[in-house]
Amino acid sequence: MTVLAYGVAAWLFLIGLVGIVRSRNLIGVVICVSVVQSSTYVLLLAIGYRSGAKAPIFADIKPGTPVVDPVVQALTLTDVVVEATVTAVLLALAVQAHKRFGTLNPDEMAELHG
Amino acid sequence: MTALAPLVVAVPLLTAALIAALGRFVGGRLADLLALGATLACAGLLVAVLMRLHGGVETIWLGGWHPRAGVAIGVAFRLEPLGVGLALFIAALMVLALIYGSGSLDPEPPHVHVLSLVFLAGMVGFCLSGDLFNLFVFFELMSVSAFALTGMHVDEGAALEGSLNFAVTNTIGSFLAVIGIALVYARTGALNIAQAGHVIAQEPVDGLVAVALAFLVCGFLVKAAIVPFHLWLADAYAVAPTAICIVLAGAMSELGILGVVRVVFGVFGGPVAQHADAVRVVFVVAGLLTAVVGALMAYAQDHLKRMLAFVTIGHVGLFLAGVAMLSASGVGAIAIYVVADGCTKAALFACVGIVQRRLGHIRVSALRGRGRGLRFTGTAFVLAALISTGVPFTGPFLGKALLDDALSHGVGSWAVVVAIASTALIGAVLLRAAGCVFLGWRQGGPTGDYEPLTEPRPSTPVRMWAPIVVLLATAIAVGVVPGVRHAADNAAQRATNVSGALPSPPAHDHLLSLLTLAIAVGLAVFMLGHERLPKLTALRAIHSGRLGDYVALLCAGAAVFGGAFAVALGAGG
Amino acid sequence: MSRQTRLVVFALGAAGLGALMAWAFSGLPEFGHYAGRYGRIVAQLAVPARATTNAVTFTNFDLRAVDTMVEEFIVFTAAIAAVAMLRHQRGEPKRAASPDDVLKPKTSPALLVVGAALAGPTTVIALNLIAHGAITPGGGFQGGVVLAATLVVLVAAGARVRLPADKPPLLAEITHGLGAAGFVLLGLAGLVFAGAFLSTTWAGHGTPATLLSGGAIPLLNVATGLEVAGAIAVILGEFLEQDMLATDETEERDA
Repeated sequence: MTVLAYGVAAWLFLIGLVGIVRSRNLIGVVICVSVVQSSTYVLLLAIGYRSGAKAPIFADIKPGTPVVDPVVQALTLTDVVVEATVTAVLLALAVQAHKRFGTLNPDEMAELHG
Repeated sequence: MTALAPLVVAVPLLTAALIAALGRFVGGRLADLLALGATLACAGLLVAVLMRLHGGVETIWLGGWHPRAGVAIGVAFRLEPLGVGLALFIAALMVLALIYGSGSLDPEPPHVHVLSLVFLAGMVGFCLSGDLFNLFVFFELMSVSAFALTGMHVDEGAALEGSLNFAVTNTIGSFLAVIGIALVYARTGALNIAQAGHVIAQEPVDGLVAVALAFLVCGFLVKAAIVPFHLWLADAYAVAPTAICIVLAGAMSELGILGVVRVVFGVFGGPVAQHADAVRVVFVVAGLLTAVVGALMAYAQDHLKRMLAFVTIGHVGLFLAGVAMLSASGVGAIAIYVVADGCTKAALFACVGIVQRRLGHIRVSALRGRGRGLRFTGTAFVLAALISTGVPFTGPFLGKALLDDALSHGVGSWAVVVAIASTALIGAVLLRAAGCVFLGWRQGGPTGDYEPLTEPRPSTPVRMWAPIVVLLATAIAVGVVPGVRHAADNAAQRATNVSGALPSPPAHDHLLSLLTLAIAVGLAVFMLGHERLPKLTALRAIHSGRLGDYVALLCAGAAVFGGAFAVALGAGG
Repeated sequence: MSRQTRLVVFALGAAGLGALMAWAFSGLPEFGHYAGRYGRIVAQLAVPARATTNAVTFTNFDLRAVDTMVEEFIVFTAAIAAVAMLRHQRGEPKRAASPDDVLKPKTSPALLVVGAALAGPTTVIALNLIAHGAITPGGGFQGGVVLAATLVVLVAAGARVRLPADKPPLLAEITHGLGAAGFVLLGLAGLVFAGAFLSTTWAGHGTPATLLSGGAIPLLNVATGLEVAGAIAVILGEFLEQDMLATDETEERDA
């Protein structure tokens, strides 16, 4: 289970990068960036998990019951928001790129180089 | 102090939000004033904080959450002279940039003002933070506003390319940093830098520690633009509005180095101190390699802003090499060098902005001889170029001399040779550009004829040349005002928790700097006179402008750094 | 670099990164046995200190509220960035900005009815999420996104959306600016009334598991909800306007 939990995080990270490097479509690149993002969420949450513990909401359980680590959950929430907004900015760039270059292939957008 | 420090970040943010909310009803002039006012207020607050510190260190806990049972549960701002001083420098640069750009940045609607204020808040917060995740969040704020500011001139395809490459590569760098933070939290159960450092110093070093260090450092090095993570910077700087470039070049890259300092000395201070020699080698090699690549690529450029971008990269490499000394003297030298060099680069960008406004071109080959009438700009550009090589009695001289000293004691004379060679080449490249544009001398570099980008304007307004005077004066003053060295010394010690005094530069450093100057001038004349110079096609091909290439090199680079740190920290098994 | 070289370089790099991560993760505590004290202390503090039953919201909006403030401003920045980047480019064929500019998608009446029926409940759910942030899972960010989703539901169902030609929806723009400003102002209120920036004690304690618990946390949630809803509406408005431009061009071509 340990291997699975952390392994998924590592796998998502790498496969997302594969997508970014190989992609011929800017929208694909943005989706792959999201995939890499999700690896960080999985890692954070996997780290904070405690077997047999409940969610850190005390509305229906007594304070003092073992709960999973609330700090990593808070960090993940923040992380999700931050990275979702980056996705929004990247998509805006993709829309403009399509209008300007007529293509969504990142390899054909290199005006400045050398 | 508990009240002052958060205000530093709150004031620009609040102003930005209000300008955005009322933007439709706020005219361009008012937005200019509000933005300038908020930045000045921020700078003023930082001065107050600095004065209250009296050269010491103070930790304040936001929200009133002091540590319980020895565990830090709230977010802390760790106020020490280096961080606060750098934040003050950044705020001052932003003031000058806003003045420089006022009236030229599109005020309807006031997006640039809002983004600049948010950018400022992100950078300043980054300098003050003492919590690892808080550092990351401010870092992201700074990055996202920088992406947006770079993509402002969205009509040009190059701006899209620059902004896109900037955004994707820096985001991947942040992912690496988050993984590093997660690993640190898993091992230490803490996000507070001081507390995490305390725990890590007591545990043995294993794979987790080495990789956490590597990933965190790589995340910051992407922002700092160290080889091979540097590829995005030239694309981005070439297209950002010049007023923004002033802040980007003068401040943002250096923050990557500050991040490395925070992580290396704060979180991983224990293991790094034990394996100081090995870790030093890793950083010095990376830094000097960056300096060389930056200098060579600057030499190969025709586009003025792209050239300056590579000059920035070259200098950042030297900053990293200085920090790599892992001593207070190295960090102190870099603190002085950063301020002085930041002013110089900002002045260079400002001059280029004036050239673009008056002459309508941005490429040296298209500008040949047209700058003859721009006497002030030409003089300022040449002066900045000379200062950047480190002539005596200027700020860069002091910083560079101390750096060379630290390098020769810490690593060896070969490092000093490389540092001098890169600085000389950069100076030569700048002088060559000046000679071609302002004096009409033929240059043997890349040629071509291009359409004017913009309508040439007949005059240079005060708001554009006055900041240049201030910047150059500061660059020189940092080197001659007494007490600067002592202040930097103290700041470095507080930041690194390492003791050691900054020596005064021995006499031979004056000779070395004059030698550097001579080489620079000689090279410039040589390059101006000769047609057939090396083309560096292979190196230039790597800087292809294509995102996939950049990301591939980023991954390879991160893997190399990881391996290097693993070996350096002796993480067995 | 040719594509071939790029893939080789990347493959080597990825292999290295994979190995490094595997090595690093082997030093992590076993899954399910995390022993850090920070989380335990937070879980113990949530109810006694601030009467919040949601320990995660307690962490995000009180303990580490400054992180949330910065994160909120990142959302704010993205909205501004979207507007700045997606405005009319110079030289683009100017659309005729007539007062009858409407988005004319082709959907069925059934879809329209469902969309209209869903819009109301979605808004209520959103407001519910925002209000109960301190008690149950939810909060400003989640509720704000759902609130913005009401707009998506309407457009996806085919509602006629009138968007002004040049400017983003005014209400959304004002909302997200005021929401962001609101958060900072609440933080300053904490400074003025309780002595520390972003402290929440000044608004009174309340009883756990009721709407008025957690001091100023519900207020911060509202500010965040407004900000996020406004920002996402602004971003969506910009993208929709782009779609409208494309629809117009398609119609011109077809005509």
